Amino acid sequence: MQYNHFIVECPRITKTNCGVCLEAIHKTDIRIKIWHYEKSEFYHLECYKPKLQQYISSRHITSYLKGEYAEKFQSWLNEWNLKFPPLDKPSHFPPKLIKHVESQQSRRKRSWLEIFKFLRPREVLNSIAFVNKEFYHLTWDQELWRHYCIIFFDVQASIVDWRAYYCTLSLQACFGCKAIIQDSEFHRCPLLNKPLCKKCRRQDSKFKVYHKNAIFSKYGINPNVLNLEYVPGFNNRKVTYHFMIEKALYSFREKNKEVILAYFRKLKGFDDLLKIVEEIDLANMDAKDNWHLPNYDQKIQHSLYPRVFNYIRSKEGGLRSLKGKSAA
Amino acid sequence: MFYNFNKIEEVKIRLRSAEGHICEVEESAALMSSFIRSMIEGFNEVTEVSLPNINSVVIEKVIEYMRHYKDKDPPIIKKPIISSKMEENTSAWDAGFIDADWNMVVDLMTAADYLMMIPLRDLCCAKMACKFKGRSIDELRAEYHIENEFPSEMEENLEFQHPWRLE
Repeated sequence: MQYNHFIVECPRITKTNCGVCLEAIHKTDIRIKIWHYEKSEFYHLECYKPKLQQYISSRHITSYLKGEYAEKFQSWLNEWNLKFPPLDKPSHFPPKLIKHVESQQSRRKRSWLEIFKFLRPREVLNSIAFVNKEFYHLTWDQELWRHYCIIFFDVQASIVDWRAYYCTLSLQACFGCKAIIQDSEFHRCPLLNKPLCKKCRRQDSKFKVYHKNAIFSKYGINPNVLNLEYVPGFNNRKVTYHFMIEKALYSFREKNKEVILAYFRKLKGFDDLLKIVEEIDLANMDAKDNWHLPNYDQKIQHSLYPRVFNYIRSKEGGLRSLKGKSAA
Repeated sequence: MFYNFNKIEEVKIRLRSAEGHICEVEESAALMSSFIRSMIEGFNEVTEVSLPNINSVVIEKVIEYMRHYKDKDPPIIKKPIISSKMEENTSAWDAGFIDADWNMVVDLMTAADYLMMIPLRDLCCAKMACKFKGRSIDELRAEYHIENEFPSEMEENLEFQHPWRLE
């Protein structure tokens, strides 16, 4: 990575001219010196604009300024840095040192990191990092990425840049078994945007593909209401994965359950039914052997229970029929 | 002479809060905190522990947690969390216990960190993570009154450099 390196000083003689305004740089001015192999460039501090639009760390500057000149330069630097997020820490910075220094700042940082560890890397990168500068800097922390590498890929190694290593792993590791695989042994599915090894693709029932008709015959639910994504598969039929169908079904039923709960909360006198609806297990709504049939709880004897169950499961019957029954 | 062993009372530990208020807790429950455990094991016959960083409301909440998990292990919260609803990430009791306002959760987390109670600290962290989960950048800024520190030019640059943020 490139950085803005330069020297800041007060000139001893007034022979040099500014590279921007071409006027002489006096002894009372602050001069920026950029050293090249053959010749050096000089600028007034006011005229100088760093080439790279990025945060300038004090470790990339050599300063010979003292007293009020140093303060003036510091205020210029702060103003410039305000526009950019801070840079990543150098990799040789010992992470143990940060953890064990019991300052308020390190405790705050540690607390935030512990919270971020409960989020997915994608959430951390997509939303948390861009909330403010403090979060942005925290999302580069090695400890956080080491944690992600361990929990997602079970890696125990001494790595310098854990964030880069996580990126490499997420591009090379199989979506199913998390093993790192060779180029010839996987196919990159456009639905997942991640590699999937041939073994998982063939043996794991999660990655079995279904086309629309198969979904209807298996679950008895119109696949168009599930908001599924498809890709062209065998015979140019649009297919999707089994685990994606299960996920879509769960969220579809969750919405239906909320609708039912809201409906019966409005009508008074259905407290017993509300309790039953709240306890319905959304993950097991289909009978094991005959998926297209509902998996009722045989112990429940409420007259409205089958209709409510069917509505949550597949949106069958609609609220109208329930309205008629509940009024009766 | 008859001894009624059932009536032997358990040793109680007195926790002194920042305001000087004293709360009592059974020793077996207090041992859940590694900090208090080290105090008891390090100095024999210690019955009072001063906690100048923690106020009495938070101490009482911590004691409630200690008493509930006195005889059993607290459930482990899976990382990363699966839902923004706390009930789906942990037990119903834990979800009800931590259902408090933001300041209380922060105070409880600080106290758990100080007392070295990792399960309680994880519970607080998970609760806070639930509040972040599934929210957009603007929603988070608005809810926690965070100013946008990135100037508009930089926002555009970020969008260009990190296109995945818009996914």
